[in-house]
Amino acid sequence: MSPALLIILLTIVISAALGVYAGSRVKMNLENWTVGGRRFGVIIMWLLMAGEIYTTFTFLGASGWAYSRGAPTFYILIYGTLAYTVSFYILPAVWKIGQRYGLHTQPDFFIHRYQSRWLGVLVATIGVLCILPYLQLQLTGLGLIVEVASEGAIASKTAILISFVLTCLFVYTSGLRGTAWVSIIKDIMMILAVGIVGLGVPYIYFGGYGKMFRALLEKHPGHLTFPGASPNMDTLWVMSTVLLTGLGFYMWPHVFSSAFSAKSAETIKRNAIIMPFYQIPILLVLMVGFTALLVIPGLKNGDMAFLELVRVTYPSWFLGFVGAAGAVTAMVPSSVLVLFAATLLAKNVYKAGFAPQANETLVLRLSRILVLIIMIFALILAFYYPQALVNLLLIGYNGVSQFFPGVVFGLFWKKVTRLAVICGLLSGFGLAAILVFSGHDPFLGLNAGFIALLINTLITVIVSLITRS
Amino acid sequence: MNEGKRLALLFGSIPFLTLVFALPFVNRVEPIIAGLPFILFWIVFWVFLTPFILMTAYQLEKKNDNQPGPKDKEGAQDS
Repeated sequence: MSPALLIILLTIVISAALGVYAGSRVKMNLENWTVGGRRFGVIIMWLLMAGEIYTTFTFLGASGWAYSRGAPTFYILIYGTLAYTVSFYILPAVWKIGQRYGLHTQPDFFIHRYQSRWLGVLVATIGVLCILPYLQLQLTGLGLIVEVASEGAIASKTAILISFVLTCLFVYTSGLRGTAWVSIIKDIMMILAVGIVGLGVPYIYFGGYGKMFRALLEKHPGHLTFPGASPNMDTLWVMSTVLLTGLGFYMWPHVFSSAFSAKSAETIKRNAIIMPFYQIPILLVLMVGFTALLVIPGLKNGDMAFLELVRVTYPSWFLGFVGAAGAVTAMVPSSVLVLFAATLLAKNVYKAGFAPQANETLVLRLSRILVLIIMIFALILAFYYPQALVNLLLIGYNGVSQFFPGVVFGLFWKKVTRLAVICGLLSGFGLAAILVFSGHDPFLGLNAGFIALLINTLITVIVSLITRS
Repeated sequence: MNEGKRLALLFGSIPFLTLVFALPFVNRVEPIIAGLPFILFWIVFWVFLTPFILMTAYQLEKKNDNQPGPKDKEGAQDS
């Protein structure tokens, strides 16, 4: 067995074992499973959030965009920072309500605030529709990473299958606690891989990142200012996109729930303060993409830039290490995505919609079974219909961002009404879908989801003012 | 909303001003600062500064926490 292969397999197995162990020390109930018993402090919150945020997209996608699109990729640096700023002001209020009324999920919040079970079902359904394609993307990405990193020794499907079984195992037994613990391994490996490669390759090929940028500007003068190599992603697109994704980030059901797993509102605030530092490694990821454009130009798939550059630069055992980091980077977000998709279906679609009398034990049992069902579903899609959800992927962020008015008005504006939120949500989601699927994204230079969010907000305000009693 | 909260919100708008609305004015390569093209330097600079901005907002909120402020739209969650 080659060292690369050994590193990859050991990492995956040890991570899963740690995940299972994490949950073995507490008695599992719904609260422990979905929100870690509401006991996470600043450090574990930080690790968990980083675990959720750094997905395979951050790893491969950000460098891929730097490689093939140029400056528009800077939006990734910006939107996270905006998202943490927003979270500083709204998440503590979410936490307080969650604590007082024992909420676990985002639809729980809508059900409680607007006193409507069916609004909860609607929010949960949209949430799951947006989560599923991301889950599949993580699995597909994982297969790709491991296959390249093991230089073909582990086929993509084998890699997906192994990590799929192990991820299911630790989600099933430990819930969010498992994810949090595996995040520790993931975060350390990821920072090492990104740090070594990001600082390394500009130095190795150009003697420093400053010289690399100068070489890049000489060869591709327009690459580092908007719109870079993507004419339809000009400054206006970047501005509307960072606003949409910055406001929408905490509207992802699994990210929203992080408010419920914190120990206190203080924890959330302190966490929000330090989160922007986590954007710095992304800068290194971008530099890898830019270096790759100069060193290995002409790649068919820009998303492979990071791994390809590592492959031609470093010994094979290090490629294995990067692959292992990439594999856990897919496993951690997968685990939390599947956990929340399952909980939303069990608690907010099944129980809220059809079986109000179901008790927590039953909901937990159902959630756990759904973890397996959803993962098998995602697996089948990843294996046999990799293109089936591509369209849904496009609408993921646009979709979840439409929850924003319902959440923020719900927290800070007494006059907002249930009907207004439903109208706003449906028209926002509908408009985003129409614009995206008819090929009108960007629309007038603006991100289509952003336009939808504006309309959504407007409708929510107007209908609230009309219908308030 | 008391004085501290209002000031804290004002601070929170800084990343939005610098990282969104200022973008059309900083979309250029020159001058290169610390090896980074200007637009990238600008973004990284404000990203790095945001924790300190939020820290200040946090302390402003805390300092004014005990002083009673005029009660208004807050606390919609209790309705």
